Amino acid sequence: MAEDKLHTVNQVAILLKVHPLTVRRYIKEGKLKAVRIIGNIRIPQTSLDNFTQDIFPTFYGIKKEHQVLKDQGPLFTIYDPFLRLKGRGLSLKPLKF
Amino acid sequence: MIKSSPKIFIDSSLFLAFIDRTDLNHQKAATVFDFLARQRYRVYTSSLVFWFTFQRLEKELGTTISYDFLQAILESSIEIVFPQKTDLIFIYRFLRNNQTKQISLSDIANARIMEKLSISTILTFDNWSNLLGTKVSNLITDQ
Repeated sequence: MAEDKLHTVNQVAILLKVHPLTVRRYIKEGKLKAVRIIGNIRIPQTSLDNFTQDIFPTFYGIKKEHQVLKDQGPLFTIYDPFLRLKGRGLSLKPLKF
Repeated sequence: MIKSSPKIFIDSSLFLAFIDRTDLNHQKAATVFDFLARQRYRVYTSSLVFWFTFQRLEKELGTTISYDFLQAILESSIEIVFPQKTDLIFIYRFLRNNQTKQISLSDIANARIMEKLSISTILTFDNWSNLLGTKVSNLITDQ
């Protein structure tokens, strides 16, 4: 802890790509542990690590693209390579009399 | 407003009937695939169906055909959907709760995938127990 790096609210905001007020809200809500050093808020690196450990980033763009693919997947057309297989096989099943 | 293409799920029996010209349902399968292509459907299948079809082809028609199937399905716009762990948990619970109904693993897995993708109809020549609100397409039943 003695060598724990300390960050300001603005530095953490830049790291997390959020507004400084959001960082302050996280601290107020207890989601992000912070310390006061003569009235100034500082966030230890370990606290930041613990905070980000529980976060799984949601890639909105990718999700949206995936959703589009899911809804508008490729269309099956008369040029589909699968149609080449029509009647290609001839199984040797035993004949029934 | 653009009308989205209809979605349909394909079972191994249809793949096999389409490829094997000695299959009793070969002509039906060919007609169905032709219809799907002309109507520009979105065609889905599951990894279980894919593995099962490949194994049956390899066993009954030989490796050449099975490799051709593999190549064609990789190039095709038929989408293979893989069940996730949550699906397997659902399948396990479903099978445990319906032990008396003799439901096969692949049937419930396919039904689960269909439910997730909001697909209500399946193309199959086998018996289908209308699991999870799914039903056999009238492209099969009407013929």
